[in-house]
This record gives sequence, C-alpha cells and structure tokens, in this order.
Amino acid sequence: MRGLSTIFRRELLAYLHSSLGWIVAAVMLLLDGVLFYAEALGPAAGQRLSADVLARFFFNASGLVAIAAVALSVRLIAEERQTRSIALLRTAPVSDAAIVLGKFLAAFVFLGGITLLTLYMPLLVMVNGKVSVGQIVVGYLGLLLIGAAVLAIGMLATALTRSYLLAAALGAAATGGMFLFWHVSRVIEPPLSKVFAGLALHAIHFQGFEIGVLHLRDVFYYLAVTYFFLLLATKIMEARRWE
Amino acid sequence: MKPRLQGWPCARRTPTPPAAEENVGKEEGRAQAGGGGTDAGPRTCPLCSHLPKVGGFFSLLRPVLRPQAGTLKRNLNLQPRSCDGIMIRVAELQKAYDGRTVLGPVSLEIAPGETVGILGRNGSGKTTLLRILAGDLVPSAGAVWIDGVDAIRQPDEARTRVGYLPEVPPVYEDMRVGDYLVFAARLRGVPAAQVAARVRAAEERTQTAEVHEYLIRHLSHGYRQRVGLAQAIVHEPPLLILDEPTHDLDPVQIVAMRELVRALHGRHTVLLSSHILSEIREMCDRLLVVNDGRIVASGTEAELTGRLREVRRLRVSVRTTDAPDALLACIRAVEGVADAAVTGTEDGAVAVTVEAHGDRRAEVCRALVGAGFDVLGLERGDRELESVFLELVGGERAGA
Repeated sequence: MRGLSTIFRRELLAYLHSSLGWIVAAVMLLLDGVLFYAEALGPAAGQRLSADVLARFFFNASGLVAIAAVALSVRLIAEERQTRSIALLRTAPVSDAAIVLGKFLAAFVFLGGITLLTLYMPLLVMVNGKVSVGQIVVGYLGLLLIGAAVLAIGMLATALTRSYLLAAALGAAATGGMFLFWHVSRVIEPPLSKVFAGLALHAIHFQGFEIGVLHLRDVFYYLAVTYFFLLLATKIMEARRWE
Repeated sequence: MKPRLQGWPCARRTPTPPAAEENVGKEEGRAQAGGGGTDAGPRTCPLCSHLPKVGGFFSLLRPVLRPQAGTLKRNLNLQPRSCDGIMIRVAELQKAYDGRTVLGPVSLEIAPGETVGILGRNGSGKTTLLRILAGDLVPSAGAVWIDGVDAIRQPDEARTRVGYLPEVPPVYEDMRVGDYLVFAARLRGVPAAQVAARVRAAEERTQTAEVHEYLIRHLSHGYRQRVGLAQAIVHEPPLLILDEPTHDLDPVQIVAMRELVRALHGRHTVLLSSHILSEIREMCDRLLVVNDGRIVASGTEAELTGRLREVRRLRVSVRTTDAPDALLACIRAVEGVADAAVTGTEDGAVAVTVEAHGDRRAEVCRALVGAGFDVLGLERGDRELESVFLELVGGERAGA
C-alpha cells in the first residue's frame, strides 16, 4: 500500500519526539507499577497464588492499556485537521486507507512498546513464584489485542472531529460504553443480554487472556472490532472528500 | 417511490447528460465562462449515488454504502477528445454542499507552461476549485483531467502530477525542514535514490537551504510559506496549484514570494488564486475571474480591460481657483460623458477623472476652453484592472 510505511515512520517518530508520547508512557508505567506493588509486593504479598497475582496484573494492565490507547490515538487525525497539515496527505498519491493504517500501526507499535516495558513485573512473579511462560505470552497477546481495538475506536473518534479534546471525549465514551456492555448484559433479559455480553470489550473476551487460556473466538473478536472501527475511520476520511 | 429515497432532494430528477463534448475544444486554451447546458442545481440523485440532502454525521456514511459509484457513472460520457497540449481540462465541474451549489458548472482549459491566476472575492469558489484540481475534494459532477489523466477515476495518478500549496502551508511543526521535505518527497513517490537531490533542489529554489536543520515551529510565517512551496515542488510536478500564496505575508515577504513564483514560470504550469489584484497582475499570464462559483471572465489583463473599453477614462488637469462645481458641471454637460470626479488638487490645478462613452477628449477640451478654463493636460487613462474586476463581479465601482 503506497505511502503506508512513510506515514508509519513519521507518526512513530512523532510519538518519540513529542511530550504526549512520553507522558502517556510514564503515567501508564507508573500506574502499572503502583498497582503491581499493591497486588504482589504490598501488604497482600504472599496471600495469593502466583497465577492469581499475574491474572490481576493483566486485568489492571488491560484498563491502563485502554486508557493509554485512547490518549495516543486522539491526536492522530484531529490534530492534522486542526493544523491543516492533513492537506499534504490528502493531496498525495496515497489512499485514505493507507493514511489510517499507517497512523494506526505507528500508534500500535508505540503502545506495544510501552506495554512490553512492563514485562519485568510478570518476570518478577515468574522468578519468585510459579507461573507458566504461556500465561505471560497469552496475557500480553490479550493486552496488545485490546490495545489495538481501543486504538481503532480512537481512530474513528479522531476522524470524526477536528478538536482533539472532543475526539478524546468521544473515544473515551465509546470505549467506556463498550466496557460497560458487560454490566448492561447482567441487568437485561435474554436474548439482548447475550448480545451485549458478546459485544463487551472486556469481561468475557479478556478473562481467558488473564489466566493464560487462549480462545480463538476472543482473538477474532478483538481483530473484528479493530477492523470494523478502522474501516469506519477510513470511510469517514473518504467521506470528507465529498464535503 | 421507495421510502428510503425520500431524504434525497432530487429523487425524481433525471440526471442531465453532461454536455462537455460540445463545449470542450471550442475555445482551445481559453476558459469558458460558466460552461453551459446543465441544471445549475446539483445532480444529487439516489440513482447516480450523489450526496443525500441529509447533513452531519449521516452524510459521512454515504461512501460506506455506495463508494465512488456515482463518480464513475458521471464520467462515462466525458472522455476528452485529446489532452495533447492541455495541462488542465475541466468539463462541467460542479460542487454542491447539502444541495447548495458552491461551484460551477465550470469548464476550462489551461495549456502547459502557463501561469494562470484565479481572481475572485472571498467565498467565490476559488479554493473549492483548486482543492478539486489538487485531488483533495471530489466534485459533485463533471470531470477533470490533469496532464491527460482522469483525476476522478485515477486520483492517485493525477495527484503525482500536482504540487499543492494551500492557503495555510501543510507543515508539521514538530519536524525539521529537511526531514519534512524528505517525508513529502517519499509521500509523493519520489524514488529513494533521488530523494536527497530533489530535496536539495527544492530548498535551493525556495531559498530554504539555510533553515534545513530548523524545527518548523521555529520558522517565521514567511519561511513556513516557502517550506510549503518547497513541498509542493519537491517531486517536480508538471502542475503547481497555489492557493493565496502571499496570504498573511508582510510586504517584504510578498515581494520575495512573487519572485519565487515567477521563477517557477516555464518549469511548471502554475495555477494560483488571490483576491488581491496586484498579486495576480504581477505573477500571471492570464486571469480567470470567478464569481459565485462561476468563471465570469477569462483572458489577459489587457484583454479584460479592453473588453470594457466602450467606457473610457480621461484624466484632465485644469487650472482654476474657484470651487470645482462649475468645472464638473461643464464637463458633465458634454455629450457622452457619464461621470466626472475631482481626484486631486495641486498648485492651483485640479485633477479630474472623467468616465465617457467612446473617445471624448476633443469635446471635453473644447467645452473647457469655451468656458474659460485653462486646460493644463488631458490624457486617456486605461481602465485599471481593479475597476474591471469590480464590474465583472458586480461590486461597487472603484475610484470615481
């Protein structure tokens, strides 16, 4: 796809050169560390099985990854529209899909990088306790998948508006709404409850990753959510040419 | 009618067949004022997938449902006979927003190497036309060929032939000038082996080599504009589109930008817009005057002013110490004089500008001498572009 790698490189460098990228990384790593300390090293230390500690770590980390994903994605298109630099991309011989995908992949690689910087925490559990490598690998796969899905939701939000504060609000609301589907499913009757439970971004789709069980249906779910929102973001970009 | 069609404004209207074949080629190398043959309203029919009247979020989803289908259908009947020797060919181009036509129908042709200025008031449709030509917007109807390439069917192919500098230069403030130009070159498909040389050449031509290592956020507005121009020419496009290139520049920067644009003459076909007459006059070979989304006149400055020569302007200098009322009354009494106004006084001489139908120098001179005025000078003044422009776009007359 023409232009994709060029856009990817620029956006990745933009994260590395911007304060936003490092602030998001610092806050996420700090909160991850604090929560890990509370779960594994604090007063509760030694009261849980290592596998449970690791599952709690992935549960907490998934929420932080989602928040970081919203924060990283909202500037991607909204900022360009605000500063009008988007004209360079839109008048270059690259497709709107390449623009969306290039930006998404850059955000995903950056998010993946800071997510993997938390790896020392599960390794500490593995050294001092008894957990399998598989649980760690599956857990991180889950974090990356949920991160990708939330980034895609953020891409749609950032494609919809030129204000990144509004984009952040939209992205956070959509992500929070999809997290809350699980709670909604518990207070309504079937068959709608099953629909909401199946669409929930966290809960049943992430539980397997927390305990190291890999269900292909969960992997497909996150990939489908990612694809769906990236497609919508691309179509919104195409629609802007008709405005 | 199916219920789902009810939101479309022209659900019962049959799309008008485009008449570009007849129009294209009639005036080789010249724009056709306004085009013709089509309904002024947008062809927003559900049968041909044009935009629905509904606005806001839901209109954004239109391409999800029927992407590009209407575009292809529209252009089937608009094949150009030949694009040899034509850089831009536009046929029956229209753009509508929410059912309101903001541009067109417009048909025009521009030859390679020309520097053409689009002149029009703010909101006249200049920027919309340029954005469509640059591949940023999709038209509601009509067809565009850039260097022989159908810009709607093959947008990416057409975009490789265009360099575009919008009103606000599309720069990334967090990048260094050199990195930004490398990024722009790669984005435009310049082969990797040639990127460095192209960037160097673009920097030399726009005099930005000395800020190669600067962060763009540290540059002045004038330099940002130059960097914007550099990104537009870095891939050596045959067509260069500049939207208000001197926008917000100070007088020194305006002169420098004019020089840069003049230096592009010959290497590129240049299409630039401005609402400032002096800019257009300084930089362009030919002018297109746009008003309310239509081209109302086309030609060189001399041709445009000559077109309105039936009303001529005289400058008369008369020595008098009295109030000018009697002088003006004397001049206005001459047959064929439309108006007269005092434009200045100096050392007892009064300068008067006279608007007259035809050449009335002799009659005015006889009348003044007969009335006892000392005529110090009488010359024919060409109509200035400003007054021509105002007349073309229906504004108030300047000067007099």
